[in-house]
Amino acid sequence: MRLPKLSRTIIVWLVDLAFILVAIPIIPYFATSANFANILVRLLIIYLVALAQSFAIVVGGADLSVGSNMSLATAIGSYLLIIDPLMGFLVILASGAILGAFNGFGAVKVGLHPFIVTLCTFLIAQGLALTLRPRPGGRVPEMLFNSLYSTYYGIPVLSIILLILVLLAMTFLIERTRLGRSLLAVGGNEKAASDFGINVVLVKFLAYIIAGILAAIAGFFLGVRIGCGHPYVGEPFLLYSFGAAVAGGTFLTGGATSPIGTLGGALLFALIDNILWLSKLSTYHSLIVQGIALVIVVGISEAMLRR
Amino acid sequence: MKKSTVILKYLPGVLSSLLRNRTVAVYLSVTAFILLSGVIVPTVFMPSNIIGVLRQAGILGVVALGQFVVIMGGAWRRDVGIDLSVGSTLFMITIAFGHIVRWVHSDALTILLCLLIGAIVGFINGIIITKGNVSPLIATLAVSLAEQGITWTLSITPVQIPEYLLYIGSGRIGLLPIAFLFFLALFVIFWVIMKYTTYGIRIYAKSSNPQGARLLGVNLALYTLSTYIISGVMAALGGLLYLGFLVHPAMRFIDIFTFDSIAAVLIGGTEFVGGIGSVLGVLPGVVFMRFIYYFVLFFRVPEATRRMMQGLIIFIVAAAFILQSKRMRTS
Repeated sequence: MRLPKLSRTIIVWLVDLAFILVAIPIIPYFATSANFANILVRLLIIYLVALAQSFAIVVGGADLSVGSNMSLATAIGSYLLIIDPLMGFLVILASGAILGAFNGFGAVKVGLHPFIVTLCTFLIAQGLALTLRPRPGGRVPEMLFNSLYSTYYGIPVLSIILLILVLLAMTFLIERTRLGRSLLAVGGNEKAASDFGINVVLVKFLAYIIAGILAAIAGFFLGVRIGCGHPYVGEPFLLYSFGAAVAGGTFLTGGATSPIGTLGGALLFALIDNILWLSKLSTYHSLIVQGIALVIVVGISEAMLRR
Repeated sequence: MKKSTVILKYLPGVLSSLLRNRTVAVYLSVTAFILLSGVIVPTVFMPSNIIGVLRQAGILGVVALGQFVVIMGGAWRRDVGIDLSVGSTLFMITIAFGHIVRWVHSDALTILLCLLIGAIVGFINGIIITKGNVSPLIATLAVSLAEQGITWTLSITPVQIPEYLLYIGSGRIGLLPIAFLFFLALFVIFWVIMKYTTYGIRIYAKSSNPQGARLLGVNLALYTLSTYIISGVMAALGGLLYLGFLVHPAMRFIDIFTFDSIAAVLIGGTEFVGGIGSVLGVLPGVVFMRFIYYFVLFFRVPEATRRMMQGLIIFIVAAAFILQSKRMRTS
């Protein structure tokens, strides 16, 4: 179980490196400080939502609600962050935790298929976001935006620190804590985990709550980035979350994930997104390219794993 | 006299074994839900509403039959079968139809080409999954992205939709829309195929025990591939029906088919692994999924609230069904 995880991580980082090396000479403005900050903020958002998805996947589920969870977070943020940033952030966390708890309740306690219950949560969160913000609007304090994009000698310090913090925290959680090991055990073999005395129900429940909270944090940063609340802005991130998690070595059948690999997967999507944007391709064409890139990257890493 | 006592003697046993049957339980709970909502809002049984629900259920049902085959037989290696590209295929067909008609100048040929496009999309899905070993979820998601990109680069062309397509998509006989009858016919065909033909039995075998099926000579890659082709063709067919209903296709497309078709199949009692489930569950599944769309319209609330109500209703009904079948299994 551990070997493919490690090599998948290396593969995805190698692909990232290749992308960067190819993009620097070809794409104008790619290797500029402003674009660097841009990629990192994008990366932070995609990384958080991919981690959220990987927590749902690792216990053998899937979370279709991460996208509308993010939209809801931007909608809440557009009202509260201007009043009190800390309070706004805490309310966003709470909304994510509640949505996650609802997912966990349906999937674990009731025994619904994760697809069904997270589809319901998707609809509910979407409805809440639409109620709060029928149209994009509201304001997020520029102070947050400026500090997220602030550079120190051309280096966007805050986003780098945040990324490293998230990476360390998640690696610690997965590798070093009881909860993390239990998550992997439950996802790998539920029956065996239960026989070893792990409280399977509680562990799965917590996994969904963590997923909800992480998606809400991703939504917070997305709201800061776009500067307003938007009822649909989170939707494309559902794809990124699956793609980054799987490209980074999370098995869709559960039981294995790697925070550093997921970071590589998230970087891949941040890069693809950024390169397509810089090369001024229309949204329609970039959708096609994204689809093809996704298949090629996952296909290549599968082929390399099997060698 | 004697006959009736025999019936009375065995009736409870027969009834309880019937109730324990998954498919029967799905039919009963969906019927109960519809009757109950009729008590709350009697106007849901207005003829226009019944026609609307059945027509939309028919269109979704055609897509869901394909989704059923994928969920049953589309698993590859350790990943479950799922087709997230059906909504985008359907959307693409509604837009592409006009372009193809202009190009080939023949309605029948256009319909054939549309179905062929569906088959090609399914083939691409299947090849990526079986040859590239990409998990179905990722592969079909990627293909659906590419399809959306392609569709949006096309423009809407004004087009004369053939009479019979309009008839199938919008026509009705009494209270029964043709789209629903069309679905019912396919429903019976799929039921027979999945239950009585070698193909269907092998799909079930592959689902419940892939390695065993392989040892008995089932070509796993070929059968997996075939399920995605079927799903692609059915999605294209759904697109043609939807076009017959819309008459004027629009670029503003909200995908109400992909996740709804999956939900309909799962609510119908089918599971991703283990060869559990039946085509028969698709009918109550799609009727339920479309009934709630119309049901929430009767409450004069904004769209945002309707979405939340949909989510909650699906949750409650699915939960009630699960808890009920759990109780049946333990008692």
